[in-house]
Amino acid sequence: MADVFFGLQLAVQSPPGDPWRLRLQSVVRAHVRDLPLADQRGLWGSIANLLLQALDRSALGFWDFVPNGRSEYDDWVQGIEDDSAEPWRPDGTGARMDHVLVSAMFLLPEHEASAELVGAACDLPESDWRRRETFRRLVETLPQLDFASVRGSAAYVTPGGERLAFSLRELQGEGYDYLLRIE
Amino acid sequence: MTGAKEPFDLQVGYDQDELLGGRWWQQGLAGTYATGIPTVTSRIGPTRIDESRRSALKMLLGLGGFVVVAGLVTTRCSSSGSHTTTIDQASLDLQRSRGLATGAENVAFEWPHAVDTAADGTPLSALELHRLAAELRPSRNLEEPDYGPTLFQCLQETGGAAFSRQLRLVCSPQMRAAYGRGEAIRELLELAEERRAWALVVDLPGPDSVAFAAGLQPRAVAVFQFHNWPHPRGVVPAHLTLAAAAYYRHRFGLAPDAEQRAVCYVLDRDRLAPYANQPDRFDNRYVVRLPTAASLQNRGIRRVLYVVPEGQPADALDDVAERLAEYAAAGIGVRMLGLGDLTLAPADKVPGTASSSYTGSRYYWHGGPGHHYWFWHHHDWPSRQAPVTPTRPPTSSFGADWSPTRARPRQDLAQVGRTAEPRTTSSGSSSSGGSWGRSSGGFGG
Repeated sequence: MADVFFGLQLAVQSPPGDPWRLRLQSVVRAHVRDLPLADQRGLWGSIANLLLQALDRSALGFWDFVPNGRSEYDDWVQGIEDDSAEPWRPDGTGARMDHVLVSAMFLLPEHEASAELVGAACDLPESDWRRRETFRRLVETLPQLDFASVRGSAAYVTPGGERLAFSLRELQGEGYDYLLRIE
Repeated sequence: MTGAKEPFDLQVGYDQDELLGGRWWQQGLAGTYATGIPTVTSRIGPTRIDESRRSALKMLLGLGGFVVVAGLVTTRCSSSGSHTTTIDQASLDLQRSRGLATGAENVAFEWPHAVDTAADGTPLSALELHRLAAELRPSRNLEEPDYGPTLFQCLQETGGAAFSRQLRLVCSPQMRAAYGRGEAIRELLELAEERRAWALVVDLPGPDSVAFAAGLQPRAVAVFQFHNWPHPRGVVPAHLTLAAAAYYRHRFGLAPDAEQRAVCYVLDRDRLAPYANQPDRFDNRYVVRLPTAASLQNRGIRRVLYVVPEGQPADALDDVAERLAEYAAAGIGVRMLGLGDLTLAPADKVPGTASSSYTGSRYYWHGGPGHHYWFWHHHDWPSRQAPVTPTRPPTSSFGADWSPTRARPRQDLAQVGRTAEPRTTSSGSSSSGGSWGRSSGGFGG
């Protein structure tokens, strides 16, 4: 059976020490363990609530929906995880470092409830792809997933350290040029 | 494979400077991944990983920044091939996974001073309850990151529906008094030279804090910081705080002068209520994080008023003391206001023009309009001209000699809001025994 890939990233302005970021880290950290279905839903419900709170502070984002997307899922999670093997190097240009990148990745068996739900949410004209309202709608979809029909999921906060952050300049540059400007 | 095994295996988890997060796989849906039952040590890493991922894991372990085991294993015993381990975890996580009233599903919440309608005379609808977290969000984006709506969000989470059916509005005499005292401070804020340079940290019992903040409206943006869920046997009676917020909810939507409002951090003083691992209590306590001094200064805040109940020592609670000291060190004026200094004036001393929810009598600082406006002289803070000539109060003010000092670090704060849960492990498989709060007859500490 083919699987659908659904991925969402948001670059949120959240400087070191920002309570919102501490809450996000606390939520993710508390769920890094084997999880029952209810806890998966709890994790994504909490992340979704936090992302909705921060959506107005998100200038860049990305989302994708790929039928038969097992390789996309693997590429995304491996790419994010492999990046973490390099020691963190802060932006040395003097730009304000006040952004974190939040990533949500899912692998969903096709024709099952979660894939159908996400498919419906992503069925949008291209003119809507960058709209803030679209991102809001997609974030709201996360806790609505039927986690019995989720094969794989991944949640990442980059950077992970409380005192580190991207600059917006970095997220607009090489390696992150796929990020869309949210309108 | 046992049916009790968690459906989502953690394949890999990261907690390091570069990355925080994890990747999960649902074994029941997987056709190609190994399904062996992991032991605690074999959970470190995916059940099957490629070599590049494995090398990354080795590096992670070398950094010592890897978090996988769920909580702290505090005790372990073994008999007849089965083990009981006690898992220490955040109480809120436990409620999220097992339900709001976990372990006490048949215990009713108590609602002293219940009323049928909110402060504006309207009943409470289920729809409004579900919108509470959005409705009570700070009205300025600037304060949004400091908002702690966890308490208001419980209604949409596991067990929230059953709780919302029980929920009653409450309005106690203490809340009415706190509201009137908030009104008195609101009147002073009217005369503040620059209102947006003010931050109030209202640290009263939850329902009273909400009422006080309601009395301040519309002169201060309320930023609620309630980071727990109610529980029928909770150490913190958070259900009453939620009920008070629902009672006064309409007061917080008023913002005619969004640019010229103070900010008010609304805390529940019972968040650090005494708790000694009593087995019949559920530890739903928590700590708060006020914004940093730099954050306040970036917003132009130069004065902080820390509001405490009467009859308490002139001290800041341990989780905010450090921050208040940081404010003072950064040059922000930090003062204490004891509610006991806001006293009711008899009707014949109340000017006819004053507006208040009280008919006949109202609250003033030191009991009368003359002393009331001395507040500015007492704190040496600038204000515009008062409507009456201020006079020095005959008695000293609570906390006049107080200044914030860094609290001695309390290691036990890290254990606030945590619950121990027995789990049974049999034949090498780890599963939740489902006996938490039942077989033990209470809550672990």
